[in-house]
Amino acid sequence: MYELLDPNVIGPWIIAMAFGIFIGATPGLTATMAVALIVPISFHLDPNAGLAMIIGVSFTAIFAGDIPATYLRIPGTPASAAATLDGHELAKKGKGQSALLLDLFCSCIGGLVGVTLLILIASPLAKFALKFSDFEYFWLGVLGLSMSAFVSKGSTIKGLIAAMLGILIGTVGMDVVTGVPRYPLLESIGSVELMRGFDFIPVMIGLFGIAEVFRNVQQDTSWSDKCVPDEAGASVSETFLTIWKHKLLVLRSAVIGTFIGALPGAGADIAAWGSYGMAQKTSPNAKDFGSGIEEGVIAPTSANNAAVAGAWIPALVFGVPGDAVTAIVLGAMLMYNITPGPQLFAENSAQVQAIFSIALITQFLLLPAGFLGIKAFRLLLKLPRRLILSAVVVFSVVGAYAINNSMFDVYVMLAFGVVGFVLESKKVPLAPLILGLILGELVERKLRTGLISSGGDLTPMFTRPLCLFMIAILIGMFVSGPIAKKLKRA
Amino acid sequence: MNSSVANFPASVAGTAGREFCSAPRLAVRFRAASRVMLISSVFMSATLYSDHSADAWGKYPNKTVTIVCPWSPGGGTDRVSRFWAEALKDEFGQPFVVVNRTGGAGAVGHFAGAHAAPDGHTIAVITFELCTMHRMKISHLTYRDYECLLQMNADPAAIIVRADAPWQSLQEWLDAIRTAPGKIKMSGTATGGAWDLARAGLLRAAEIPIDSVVWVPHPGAAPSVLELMGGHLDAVCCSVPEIASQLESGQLRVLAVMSNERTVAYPNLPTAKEQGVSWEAVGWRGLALPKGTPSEIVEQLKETCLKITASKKFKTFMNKNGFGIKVRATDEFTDFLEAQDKQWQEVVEAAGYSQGLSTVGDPGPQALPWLLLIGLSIAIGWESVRRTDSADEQHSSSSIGGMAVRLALIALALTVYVVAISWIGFASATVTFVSLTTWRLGAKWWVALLTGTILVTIVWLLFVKLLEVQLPSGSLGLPF
Repeated sequence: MYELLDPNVIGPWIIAMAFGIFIGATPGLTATMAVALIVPISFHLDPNAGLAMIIGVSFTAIFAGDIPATYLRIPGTPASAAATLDGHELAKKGKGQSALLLDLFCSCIGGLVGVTLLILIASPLAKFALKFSDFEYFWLGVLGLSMSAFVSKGSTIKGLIAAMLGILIGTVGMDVVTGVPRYPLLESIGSVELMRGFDFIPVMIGLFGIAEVFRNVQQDTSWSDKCVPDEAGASVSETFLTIWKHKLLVLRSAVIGTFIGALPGAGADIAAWGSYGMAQKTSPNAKDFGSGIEEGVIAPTSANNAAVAGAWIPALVFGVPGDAVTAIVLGAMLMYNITPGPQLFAENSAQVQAIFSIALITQFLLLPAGFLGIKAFRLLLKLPRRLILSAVVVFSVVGAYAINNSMFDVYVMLAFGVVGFVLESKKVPLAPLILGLILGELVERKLRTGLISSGGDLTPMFTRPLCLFMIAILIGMFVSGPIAKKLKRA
Repeated sequence: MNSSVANFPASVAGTAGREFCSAPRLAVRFRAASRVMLISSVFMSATLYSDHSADAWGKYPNKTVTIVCPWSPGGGTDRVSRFWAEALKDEFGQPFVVVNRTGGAGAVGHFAGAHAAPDGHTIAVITFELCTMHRMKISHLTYRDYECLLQMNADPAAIIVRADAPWQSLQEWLDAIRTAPGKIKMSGTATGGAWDLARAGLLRAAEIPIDSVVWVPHPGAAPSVLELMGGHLDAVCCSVPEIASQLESGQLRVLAVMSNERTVAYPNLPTAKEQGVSWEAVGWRGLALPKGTPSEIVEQLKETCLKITASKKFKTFMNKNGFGIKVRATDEFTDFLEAQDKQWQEVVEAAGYSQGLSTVGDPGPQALPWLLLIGLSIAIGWESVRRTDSADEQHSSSSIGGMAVRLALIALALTVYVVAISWIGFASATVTFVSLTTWRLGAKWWVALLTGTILVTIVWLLFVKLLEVQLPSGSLGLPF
């Protein structure tokens, strides 16, 4: 424990967290990329310092993604797309800073809950996650997709159109099940890049970042103005009061986030949306979600940081990575002569304890790092609007390019900028489109591999115990609303 | 420490600002917007790229060398690529940067590596899939599209089961397949992927019909291993390093390694050959250069690479990761690839994959798009019928016209900017774009120019210097 406070550990740790803020707040730069860059450096350092840097980056990046999502409506990471709803609405009302402060504290609590669950019940949770096979993931994906009915304001039909469009966009490229190009005609006229399909991140940057530039052009305000309204300062005590008021929501979102994160087929993005939908479904203020309410900020952010902790569960318990970040970490551990897996965990060795301590302390370090991140971002926003918008364009281009070093992604980003703007001006909500894009692939792939596995038999889809459980939740979600209405009337 | 975070962008801007403060005086004569580009180009070449022009042309390498890795960060190939980047950087004293070009089951990255400029400044990492994917019609690429440089790794495929599985040897497992075809479920990668073909070849060598095992496609070895441990699969086919930690902890067992001799890294794992099935399937990794790279550069790189593979650093790295070392250089490597190509052609044909893929129970890749198209047309049709009675869009017609023009202009500007990047490179295009737009939106011309230059400097420092992201340099090959 004390060796973690060594300046040779704490120094790189804090630098990594600062780096994480920058990575997270820049769309297109991912925690995966940051970790991949840190690993070679960390071989020259103490293993604890390396682990601290990696864990520090992965937790801060997810929070930092919410900063541009709140102020500029451009999510920095896929997991912060949900913050473009209520967080951004609050910022438009001049409450951006207090929304982000709330966001920061909830991230910290979410992370703490996730790490605590990791320490206490990692083994049973991991064993539970193993029960998830194709059909279970299919239903989980369907559950997530059905959230689009709740997260879209206004017309349900338009929400449905958006979700279907999102799934359709995700189908371009190589079919993951059979490994053949899905639209041979499209791929033969296009480049080899089309076979890859549309990467999620350039599409997201386009839909939000570039579309935001168009929206700004549409507004008739002066170009020398600031982008964000002047704000009153935010107070920490008020934030605590808000969290206390919604303490159950914070805890529930964090627990949901940890569970979803522990599933190797799901991640922080699905956790954030799932928890947002859940919060809206169970809240008495359901109809105000999306118009800038605190619950809409709390739910996704508590869940996504918890999910980062959750992703460590299968990695540490089985030694099998659940996502790209843990994959890199497991690779790095081999270089430190640590063999990840059940032995390491069962023996409760010094390394595992170091990982736990680092993960816990990181949550507290997140508070000052995140706070300064918010301040720095606000400082940048004092620049005139014409400059901010140019910078948004430039950073969108670089971000889209950096994800795969391909100009194709930049063209995709630009095209989806136009799509995003047109859809929004037709009042088609973007949230279901994002959900469709994230989950469409999962739902299709898991259904088809499940069917291959069962030889075309549909019965296991409805008879496996966990499937039944999720079908019950699904039915409950759609039926509870109308029934409650009827009961009230009676 | 943390306060430096907050000031970071600001302080970078500050120093950059001082550096460029003489800009307005120099540029005073140039008023026309078209010349903005010229001036900024001069700045760019003078300041940002001076380190490149410094050590002149001729000597190789004279700029950053890109190593194209066709697989995503975190995987084994990525780890190997990053090792080579470090090692080559130490040898040549120039930056070597790994660029992950993923997707299309390796097709995208292999394509990018083969079609880069053949000047030695792009090195392609090539893997096993190069010999199978053109047979699967995912790509047209073969080893003949490269100057094959060096193979550094070979890991045989293996049949892996849970520790508590009933089969103790390969023959017991094969007998189980013979007596109950279609019962055993396996995975390791997508259908037609490398490990699928490896197990198909094994079954073929054992004279068992290839479809008597159900291959459940999963996107890679890691998810397959989790499905195996959860009891949803009966066996996994992948390379041994991919399951090293589960093997060590006793959760999984290896029935057979598909090589002719026992491997150096895992000498106690039995081979398929010693269990009566003569079949070898080796996953390998290597380095290659785009076809047409000058032979003196190939030769120089070969010497350096062989020096690295002989080093202790290389051996330690490979051993720690459990990667088998197998070094073959240039001609020997090419011969190996030729033999591999033939071997996999036979397997693909025997498995019937060359006629396209179909699996029992799978609704196929076209089912979902059709379903979505039908759903979308119904929903859009419904929406347009409904909308006729409620007119929810009300704008005065005059403002719509003006607005449309402005939006179209912005869209045009963005398109020109992005296309310009692919021609003249990121730096020049961005300085021009940012300067012109801020100038058009009301900034003074010298403020606009300064803004563009500072912004590009910041992006360059953060991305190229700090994050090692290679920004597009443009097809015209301008030096800045």
